[in-house]
Amino acid sequence: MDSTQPYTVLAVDDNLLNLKLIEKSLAKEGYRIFSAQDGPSARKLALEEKPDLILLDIEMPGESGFEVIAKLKENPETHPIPVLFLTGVSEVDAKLKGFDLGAVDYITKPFHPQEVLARVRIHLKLSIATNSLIANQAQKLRQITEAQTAMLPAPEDNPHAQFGVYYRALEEAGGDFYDILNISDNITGYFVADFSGHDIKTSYLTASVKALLAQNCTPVYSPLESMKLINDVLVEILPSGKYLTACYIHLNRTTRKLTIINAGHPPVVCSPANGEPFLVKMDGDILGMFKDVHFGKQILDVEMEDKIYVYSDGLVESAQNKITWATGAESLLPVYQSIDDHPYQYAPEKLINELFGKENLPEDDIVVLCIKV
Amino acid sequence: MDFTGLAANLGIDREDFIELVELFINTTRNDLEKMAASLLSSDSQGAAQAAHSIKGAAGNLGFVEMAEVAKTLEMEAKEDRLDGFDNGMGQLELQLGEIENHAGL
Repeated sequence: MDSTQPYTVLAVDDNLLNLKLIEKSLAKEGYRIFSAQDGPSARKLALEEKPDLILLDIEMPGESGFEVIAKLKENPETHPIPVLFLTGVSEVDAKLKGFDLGAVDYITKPFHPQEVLARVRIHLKLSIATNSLIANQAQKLRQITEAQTAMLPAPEDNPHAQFGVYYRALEEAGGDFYDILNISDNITGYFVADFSGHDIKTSYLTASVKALLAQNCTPVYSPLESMKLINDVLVEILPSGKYLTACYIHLNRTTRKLTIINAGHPPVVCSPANGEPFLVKMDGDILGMFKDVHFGKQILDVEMEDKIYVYSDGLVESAQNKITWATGAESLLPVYQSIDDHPYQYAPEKLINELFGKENLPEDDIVVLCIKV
Repeated sequence: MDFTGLAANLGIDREDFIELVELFINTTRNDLEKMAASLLSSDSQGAAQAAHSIKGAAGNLGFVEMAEVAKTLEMEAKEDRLDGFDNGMGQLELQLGEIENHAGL
């Protein structure tokens, strides 16, 4: 709503006198009025003019006010416009039906123009407040998304880490998160996590986790110690019911030792340069829930050009097809094999395209990391 | 009949009120014709609709007595009682004539 433009009201009543009365009393107060005497022309005007508010008579010949409001609420373009209905019917049922269909208020006929004016004012105020609240929240969410994306390290900024990534957040504030930790010249840490729930709280927490990773993933601590330290802090700071599944990969390119710490996360896929891909399965508690945790841990000997895939459950799970990652991960192994000739930078995107095509992405956040030894 | 007071009550000026009264007279004449036709064909529903329309319009402009008469007729028609309609319609026509005179139309 532009404050320099007059507010517009669409008045709908089959009685011309009522229409004129509304028109005169509202126009006098600076509102711009559109009038319609039947349902179809009211809907047409609502769509064309997008009035700030609609006054709608219920008892009209042909399409009733109830039908009109139902259709207005079905259409996303007219759905947000507040509708006040005018009813001569004093029965509670009709009023309730109006509210059920999405009306914000009603005015009983015969109405007093001053009452109409007062109700129009209050509902415009409410609508303005709601709209600015929504705009405000959308703006905040955009900022969070931007901040969150900025928090995700880009492969081109970390050439030593030798990884490719596919990242997609389903909602403005995504639940998936990854980070790259340059522990020393030859040691890199890769962290992939999935927060329970996708909301603003989650997105603020990613900043905390990122800080914890930077503090604790150092040459001083073993990978398991790092994760346990982070867990102890998260247990204290996470809101109740919030937790993460996570996988931490610690790769020493000099010794060619790969350490995997698993905290309730889908299994890592190891795709050797000379051999078939396999899953590195292990049990492990989730991160941030319990003080005494047991994380899964495995150390693998790896070779140059081997590829390691770490991903979130969005890749292998499907709520629609009732596939959990326990079965989903296994069935994907041939796909890794089929994309083996792709460079690691492009492998995650290729994997997504192979699995879902470009238009059938699943209903979840997804992160896939491909690490080249 | 205090048109200035009725106009003030609605929050509009006398000139606008007279304009609405003119519209009211036309639509009510129309409704009374419909009512008479409904009565001839014993169409209770049509009679109730016409009475409903007059009730709303008169009520909105502050013509309380007319609105009361129309309300009674609407209720009677809804109960399928059309025997007292002639009398009620006569009252409405009389009241409408008074309003017309007062408005100088």
